[in-house]
Amino acid sequence: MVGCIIDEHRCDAHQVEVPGHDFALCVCEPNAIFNADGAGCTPCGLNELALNGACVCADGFAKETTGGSCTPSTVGAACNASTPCTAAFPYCVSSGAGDGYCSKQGCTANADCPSEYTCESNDAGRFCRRPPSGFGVSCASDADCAGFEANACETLQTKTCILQGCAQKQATCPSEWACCDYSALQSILGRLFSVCAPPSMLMSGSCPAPGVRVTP
Amino acid sequence: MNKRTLCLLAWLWCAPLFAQDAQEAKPEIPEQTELPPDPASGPTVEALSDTELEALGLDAAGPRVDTSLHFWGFADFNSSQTFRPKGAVAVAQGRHQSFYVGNLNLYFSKNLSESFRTMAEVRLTYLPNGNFTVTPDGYLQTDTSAFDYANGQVVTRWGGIIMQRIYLEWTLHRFLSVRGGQYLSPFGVWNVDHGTPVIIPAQRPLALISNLYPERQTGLEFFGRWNVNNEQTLGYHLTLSNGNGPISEYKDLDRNKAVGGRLYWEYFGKTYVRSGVSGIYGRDTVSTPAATISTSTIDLKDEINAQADSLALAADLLVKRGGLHLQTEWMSLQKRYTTEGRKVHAVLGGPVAQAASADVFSWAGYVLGGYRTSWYGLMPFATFQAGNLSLANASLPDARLGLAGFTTGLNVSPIDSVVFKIEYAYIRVFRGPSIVKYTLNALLFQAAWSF
Repeated sequence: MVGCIIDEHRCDAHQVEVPGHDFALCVCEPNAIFNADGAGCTPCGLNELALNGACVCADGFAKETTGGSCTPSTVGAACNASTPCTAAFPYCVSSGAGDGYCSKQGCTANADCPSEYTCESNDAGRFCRRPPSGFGVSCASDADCAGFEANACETLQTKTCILQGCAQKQATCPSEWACCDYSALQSILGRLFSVCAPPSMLMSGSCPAPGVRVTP
Repeated sequence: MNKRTLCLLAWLWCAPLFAQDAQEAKPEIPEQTELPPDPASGPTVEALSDTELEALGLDAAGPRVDTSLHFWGFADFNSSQTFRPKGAVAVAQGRHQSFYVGNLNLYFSKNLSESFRTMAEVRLTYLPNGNFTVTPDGYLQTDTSAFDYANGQVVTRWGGIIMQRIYLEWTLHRFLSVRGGQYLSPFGVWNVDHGTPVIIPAQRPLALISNLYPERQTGLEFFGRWNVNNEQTLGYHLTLSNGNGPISEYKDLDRNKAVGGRLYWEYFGKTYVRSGVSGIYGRDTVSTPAATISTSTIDLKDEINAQADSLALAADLLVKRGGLHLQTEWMSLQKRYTTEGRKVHAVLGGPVAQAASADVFSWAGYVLGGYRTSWYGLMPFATFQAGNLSLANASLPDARLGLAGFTTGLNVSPIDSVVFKIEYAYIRVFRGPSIVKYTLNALLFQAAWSF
């Protein structure tokens, strides 16, 4: 029709319109993420899943090198005294009672670890730690996150399990993650609120508004 | 000229030809008798003798046009009282009855010669003092308090000046005049002729204050009119401007100039009719320069924060017969984001934490009816208005509002240069995010005068 410059598809490639009439918004289609420059979306690659704004490897897969693709890997595989880890990831990280998981030692930064793993310290030195369990899992209340390391449900916007309370030292953020303090929302939430945010959720290193990056 | 520009021009030319008199006449009291145009090439003037001219203080050898500087303006004084204000209404309108001076606009014009003319309009305002922004951190209000060095350091509050228009006009032919500078966009009934003494309600309808059509532009405007016969006039405006960017008054942040126009028709019979269609197409870019400085050079690159192609269309109709006054305006805005300009951003109060803006179609319109009696020019009037548009608040740029409402009141003009208005306004947002879903219920009073 003459005089029309918009059509039914009101978003860019690999984007879908958010249902509802209250906002006119586009988000990435399932299993796609926003590009690093903030414009457009890119589908995740083979054996990848979109999680918290980043493409991560599916279970049983890992990017064993920075910039690599998700390939079958033993990182994260269960291990114990009778089932030791294999050569690529020989270090069995104990996670309390029960089985540990396979990883490696000797890292100095997250870039030395498989994708999403962070370089942490324990009594044995530096090692690659897997992402907090449950982080990014959909939830409706804290009950849905019970049993995970990410044991709080963010019910305002993302509706996913998060690591909550870092500014109040109730949670420790993984290495190179940011602690975002949302105490400005205290009057709305009725409580102090802070979350651990992975680098993929930050915008030029800053927390999503109105959060303020703090050092606990 | 690209395909869409051609489509726009085709739409303008093929649509019914209707109109607005977009001349910047001195603000006058509405409802004055419309005078038919002279069908001849110009007005018939009986020549005066030198003696007669001298008696009038004129010099026969002087310029054939009035080249003196003209200075005039308008102002208004208001009172508003909202009833049971809540939420966004309380924030935007205030919770208590307030008195305020809304506009003090000053006009300057001068014929520089028989074919050149200049005109300027400025609005003096108390803004930005008291301007507010609603953020997750709360209600942030601008305070312009300053120590007055010339008056014993007493605390005073400074205000601002809003440039309404300033241009040089060159009349090449009665079918073609050219303006260069900043001018009010030629659309609708009450955009160019926007003095509050002329506007019938106390507040301009939502369609005119929702940023659907750019209120003013900086660039070139071509216009002219043709008297078809004793009773009809056709006219046109074509515009080429910086468009509608954040600093479009003096800088275009992209290479695409905005192209617009208007066609109108006027009928001066027993019933006066004026109607027109308008449109403007351009690219709106919000960007900030990023500089890379080396020892010998500075490389500048534009970081695009948002960019969209926009097409605004408008139509209007004004009918007067005796004391009867009927008027309607409708306008729409289509925004189609470019891939580069559809940036992901945090969404306050939305269904997702982060998203990009979707293309949108917004519209708003109103119908106004009134009857001007001969008793002090008293005019009862009523307005119905509706719209579906985006919220102008920068904190919620993607929020969509569906709204409808009505106003009713009295407009009375005891003398030609003074108008009093009293009005009850009811506007309900029936669709939108809960934080802005509100009802405006208010009593407004305005005294507007021209001088």
